[in-house]
Amino acid sequence: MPEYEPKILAFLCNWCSYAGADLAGVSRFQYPPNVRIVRVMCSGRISPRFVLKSFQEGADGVLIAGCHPGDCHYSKGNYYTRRRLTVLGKLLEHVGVDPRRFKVKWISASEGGKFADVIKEMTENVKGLGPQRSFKRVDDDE
Amino acid sequence: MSKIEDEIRGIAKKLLEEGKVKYFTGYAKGPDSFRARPIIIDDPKDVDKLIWSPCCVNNLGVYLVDEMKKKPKRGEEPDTRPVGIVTKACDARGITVLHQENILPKERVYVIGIPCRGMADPEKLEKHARKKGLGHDAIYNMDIKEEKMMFTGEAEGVKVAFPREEVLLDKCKECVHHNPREYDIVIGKRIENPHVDKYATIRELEDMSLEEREKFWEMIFERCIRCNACKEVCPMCYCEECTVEKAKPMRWCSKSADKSNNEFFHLIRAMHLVGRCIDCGECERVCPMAIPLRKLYRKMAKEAEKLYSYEAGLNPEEDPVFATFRVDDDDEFE
Amino acid sequence: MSEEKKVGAVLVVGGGIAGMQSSLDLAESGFKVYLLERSPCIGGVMAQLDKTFPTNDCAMCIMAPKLVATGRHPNIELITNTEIENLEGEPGNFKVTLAKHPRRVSAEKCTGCGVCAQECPVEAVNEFNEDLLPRSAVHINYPQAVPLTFIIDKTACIGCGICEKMCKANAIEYDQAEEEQDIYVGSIILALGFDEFNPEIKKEYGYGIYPNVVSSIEFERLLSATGPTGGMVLRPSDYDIPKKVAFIQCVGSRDQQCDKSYCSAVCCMYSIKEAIIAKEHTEGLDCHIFYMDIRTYGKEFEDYYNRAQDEYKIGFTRSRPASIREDPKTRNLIISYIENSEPKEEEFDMVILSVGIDAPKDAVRLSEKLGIELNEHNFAATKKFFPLSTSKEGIFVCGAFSSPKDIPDTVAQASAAASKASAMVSTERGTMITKREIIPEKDVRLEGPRIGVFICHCGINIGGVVRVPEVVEYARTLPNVAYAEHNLYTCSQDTQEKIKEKVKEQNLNRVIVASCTPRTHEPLFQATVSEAGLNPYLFEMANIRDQCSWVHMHEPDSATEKAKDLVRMAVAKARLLEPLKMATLGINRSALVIGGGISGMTAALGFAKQGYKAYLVEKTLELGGNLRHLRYSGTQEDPQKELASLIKLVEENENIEIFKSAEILSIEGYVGNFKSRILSENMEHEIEHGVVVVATGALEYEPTEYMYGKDGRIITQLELEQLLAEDKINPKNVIMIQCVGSRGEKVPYCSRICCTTAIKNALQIKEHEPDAKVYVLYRDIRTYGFREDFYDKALEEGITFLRFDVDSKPKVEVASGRLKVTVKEPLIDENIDFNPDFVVLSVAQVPDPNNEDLSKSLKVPLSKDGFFLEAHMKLRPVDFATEGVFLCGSAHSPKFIDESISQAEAVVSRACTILSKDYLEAEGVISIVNSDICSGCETCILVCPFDAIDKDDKGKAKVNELLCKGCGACVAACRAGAIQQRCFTDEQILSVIRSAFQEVST
Repeated sequence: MPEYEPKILAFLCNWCSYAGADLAGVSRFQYPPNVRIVRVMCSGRISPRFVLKSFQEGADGVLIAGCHPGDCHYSKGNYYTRRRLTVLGKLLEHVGVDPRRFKVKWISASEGGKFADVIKEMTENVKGLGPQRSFKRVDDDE
Repeated sequence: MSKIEDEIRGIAKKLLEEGKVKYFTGYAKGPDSFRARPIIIDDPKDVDKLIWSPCCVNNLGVYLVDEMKKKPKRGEEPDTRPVGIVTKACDARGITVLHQENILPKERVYVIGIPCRGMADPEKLEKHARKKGLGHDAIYNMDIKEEKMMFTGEAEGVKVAFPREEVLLDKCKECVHHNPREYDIVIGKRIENPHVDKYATIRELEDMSLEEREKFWEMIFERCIRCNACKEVCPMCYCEECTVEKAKPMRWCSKSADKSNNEFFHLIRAMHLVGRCIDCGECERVCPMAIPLRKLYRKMAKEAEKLYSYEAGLNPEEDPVFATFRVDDDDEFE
Repeated sequence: MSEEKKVGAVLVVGGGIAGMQSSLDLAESGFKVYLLERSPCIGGVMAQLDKTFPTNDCAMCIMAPKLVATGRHPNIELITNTEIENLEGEPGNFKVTLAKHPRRVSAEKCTGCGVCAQECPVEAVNEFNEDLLPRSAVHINYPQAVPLTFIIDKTACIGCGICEKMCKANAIEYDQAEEEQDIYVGSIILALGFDEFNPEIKKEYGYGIYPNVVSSIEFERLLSATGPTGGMVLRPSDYDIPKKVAFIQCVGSRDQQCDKSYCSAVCCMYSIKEAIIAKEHTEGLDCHIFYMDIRTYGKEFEDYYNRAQDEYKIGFTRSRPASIREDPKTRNLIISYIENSEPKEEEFDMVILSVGIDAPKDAVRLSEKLGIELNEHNFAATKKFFPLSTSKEGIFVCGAFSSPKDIPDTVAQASAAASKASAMVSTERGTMITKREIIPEKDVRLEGPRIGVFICHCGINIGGVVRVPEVVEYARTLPNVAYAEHNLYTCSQDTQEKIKEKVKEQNLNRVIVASCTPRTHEPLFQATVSEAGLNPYLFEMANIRDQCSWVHMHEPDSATEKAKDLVRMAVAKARLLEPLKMATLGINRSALVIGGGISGMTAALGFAKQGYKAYLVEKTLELGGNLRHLRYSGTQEDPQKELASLIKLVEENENIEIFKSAEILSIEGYVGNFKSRILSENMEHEIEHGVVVVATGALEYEPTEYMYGKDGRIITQLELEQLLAEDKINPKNVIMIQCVGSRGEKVPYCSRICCTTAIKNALQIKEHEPDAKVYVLYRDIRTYGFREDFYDKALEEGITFLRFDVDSKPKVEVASGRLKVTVKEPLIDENIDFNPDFVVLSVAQVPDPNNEDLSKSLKVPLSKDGFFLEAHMKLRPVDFATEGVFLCGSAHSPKFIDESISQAEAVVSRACTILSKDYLEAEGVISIVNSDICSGCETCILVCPFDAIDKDDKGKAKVNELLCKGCGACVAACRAGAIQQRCFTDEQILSVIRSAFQEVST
């Protein structure tokens, strides 16, 4: 049996964090291949449903990244995200989800190094926690 | 007959006689003495059916939402007169949220607000009565009244007293907003708001470890049968079709009851109630599986208050908690 | 001007933020642009910056979209690595000869993959990183560079030929030669920017000798996440984390010794910024700034300065250090300085020299070639009322090349210069631009998805790690995939042809390219798909290079699996893609300008010159605004004469309709289609217009301090100016008090213009009466830029400047009929008494209280100080977030005449990007409401950053497609799921999420 490799789904805003992830590539910063990236235009688009759905479908960790507060391409999208996801984080913790499985980070277009570090850290943490089972959908009825 | 009950009837009669309201929603005697039931009356002759007692547990706000969704029949002029309604302080806060969210225009409702010390839990009453050796029949004929710190009733000529603290609904024990803020008319005296732990219901959970909490909720979420009673009774669940369960354009969450789908459903519902749930407790009351839903919603309320100093239904002028922000909001995300 | 035919093209010289802004405005307004850049790529100094003040925005984050937009605009021709050789012809029709230096890499073939640079054995001086880290001989300046074409540095190249061998695109062309090119343009904009002062000249600071003395721009690179230390502040001698650093201000500014008498205008702010960022990056770092005057004169700058002191505990010492020496053991630096007349020394781990702004090195050579005049400091000479014009007709200037300035002022001027440059050739609008070819689109709505997947090797960039053929095989097994293949370079021209061919041959109706990042390449492939007759939104990308092969270089197995996942996720989305039709709407080509001061009149005239109608609304009986009260400009110009000629031009222009004693009753509508009601001289008018300009100006603060209003000899600067001009007084002894209102509790910001105004009037008094005594009591003298020359002149003329502390403000009394002013001199710590003839108060500029109403009716925000708040402090200084509404002059924040004129012209340029269009087209990625589901709770209306959502008559939310920018915030906010974002629908994202976790089944 091979070593357990966690799966992390990351939702990144187009303007800062996705650009930061690209920069990690351009700079050849290496990070574990456990993350799959979904691009959205703004972190303001992230609904709690995306997070829960990811867990339900089998994500061991979910990362959301957007522009630093104040840097939003759409001026204020990430401020709404910050409120909504802060509360979502509290809710997940309240129902027993380890907070290391759900992360929100502000990553700018010039923070390729930070992006790589975030993925490294999160992969390591989630690996330590083992597979996320509590949320996972068993059936496949749809 | 209590003075408040008297006044309710008086107001309802006047409103109906003058045609100022389309109809009037209040409470009537229920199937037994421990329960009141909602009633809608449109004839001034019927106002004597209206009652006021510690058994008026239901949040009637949900009927207002139904009223707003009614579509006039083809060719008929819609009757846009307000609906009269009896509200406790918590129900009134619910109406404030509906105002805030433009679901219920102020001119479509006539609110009778009643300061409220809390309502009695019918099950606790029943249990208490049983302890005193009162049979089912006897109980049926009781008439619950509030006197100082007791609820009292008469059964077969004997006065029975129930200590308030023992029979109050749990949510009422944790309530700190006894007085309605928005109303057209208020009946009864202002009540001093108590200093109680409004988040008492979640303290125990908060003290648990992550694993213990996970286990706790696993058990809870597993038993939900997705009967939708919680949604149906909630005035805040006013969507045409439940966004989580609707099939088109795609279904976020299967309607079939299993732990994963149930948890998805309940957590999204909890997110949707942030800054909106006014803790009327109706969802928990109607849940056939005794799911402690307040333990989700109160946690959300606590966070909204702690993080954003926001409490549901206190200020109709305020923007909803997720529809606004402050640049210096708490930021744990780095 | 000659009768020769004019040319609808403009040459923009300099590809920094100014050149990009000018180019984008012009290109969007219907003109062809040649953007000339001396270096191999555009971006300028801003690309080197880490953060920007006062918002601490990430410079690259906010600039990158402009870089990309400039690089891909069909009307902009980028000509890099090239200089001007010669100029002939007339304004309206110039012939410019360009000298193109060899790049030695073919721009057509280079894909920017970077393999060459990785293999290059040379270590050369890295100018971009200020030589803090070496680079290869074949290189690009920075990862986001535009154009993304590598260049071989001939001086460093050893000719080993490795790059040529490694380049699969065969782009290396060692023997490229110098080339000449002639272009024809109607006008020219010089956006040369600036060069940094070389601090080696100031030997006493030991720059170049002591390793731990660095320049501010080097320090900026150290702070940057893309810099040589990845954002860690490390001192160069031992790469140790410093504990205590000092900034020395005015290195190469305000310094006659090194022939830089002027103030560089930006150093105070950037040093405060660098100190703040350094403290954020380094725990416990002690930052200290040695300064002469702190010049935080701009919008929200003073607040930044206050926060630096109060929150960040940055130390400020008013002293210009005499010298720096090094402790040879620790390599620490000892700064010698004088504070309060006492010599002192202090040791630091690192010293940052806040270097000033020099005229661009190219200035003299270019001025000779072009025949424009330079001023005494070698910057382009301009006039107060014509801040954008050089001495030669048809050649305009913007940004730091006309005087040192910060980014927002530069960007405003860049737009302004575009307005001036295009006004010259406005008749030729649209004659030289690339017209979009309309290709009939195939209707695919009834067909099932047939997806073509094109997977890129990117030379060895992807193929060297990911087993591309295996991914292709896998792609073929995925549902709805009708075709899959791999390409060496999917972005090459021949592959574009191949994609088009395959779309037809295989009857494809969705296309996926798995290669690099959509951020740079999506538009290219969308264009290809479009040419193949498919709606461009039927395209999707999988990023298997930047986010896969490049970051998992040593894990080919995992990278291949990941690439399969990414392709599968792209397929999951592509299956659900739908063709999008963009809404279009006609435009009313006229502007409503609110406010008839210098800004409003300049804007109105600007619109008229562009051929558009302007409605100018003035609330008083007369045009002119605050300028009506100005009698001296401090330069040759007579403000009243200039004003009179401007009013004449405005009143006589047929394209301008003026409403005096007017009031706006209502403004309704949105970009392109506004409708307003105006009450003017008791008549109500209804007008329709496409844009709105707010130019309502500012007011003078009415002081309650210093006994103002209690004695006729205590007056404001404006009153002094009137009295002097009308020869009513001849004062012999005058005290001027600065910062009356400003920088205090009532008006927390600096009013920007009062220091210069005071000096201007002080000099005027001296002119009237050379023996007069004038004392200026001040806190910091803020004569930024070339205004410093005024200050020098004032000192020469014997005007006395006395500083006071904010805690011990001067006292004004009337004792036995005489004025008495007492001020505590901080250096000697003693009170000094004066008995002046006049006390002149330099009062603050305050926002108009009516701003609040106007802001509500226009749905635009105000700053906390009560001025109008622009869309973005740095890069959109005259735009509001609400499209079609603009802002200029003192309504934005206090301003000088030249600055107001620049902003007003900028507004014209920005608005022309709308007014010049045949019709407005909405973006593709926008939100749409399903009104059957909408409950009308209005949450979406509250969260929309662009006021793009409204309610329809049934009480349901309705998105104005032309205002929606497609952020999707409303979608996430809608509990009912009644709003969807095109291209990012819930269904599409859900499908992607699901597919991410399906096991790979090969």
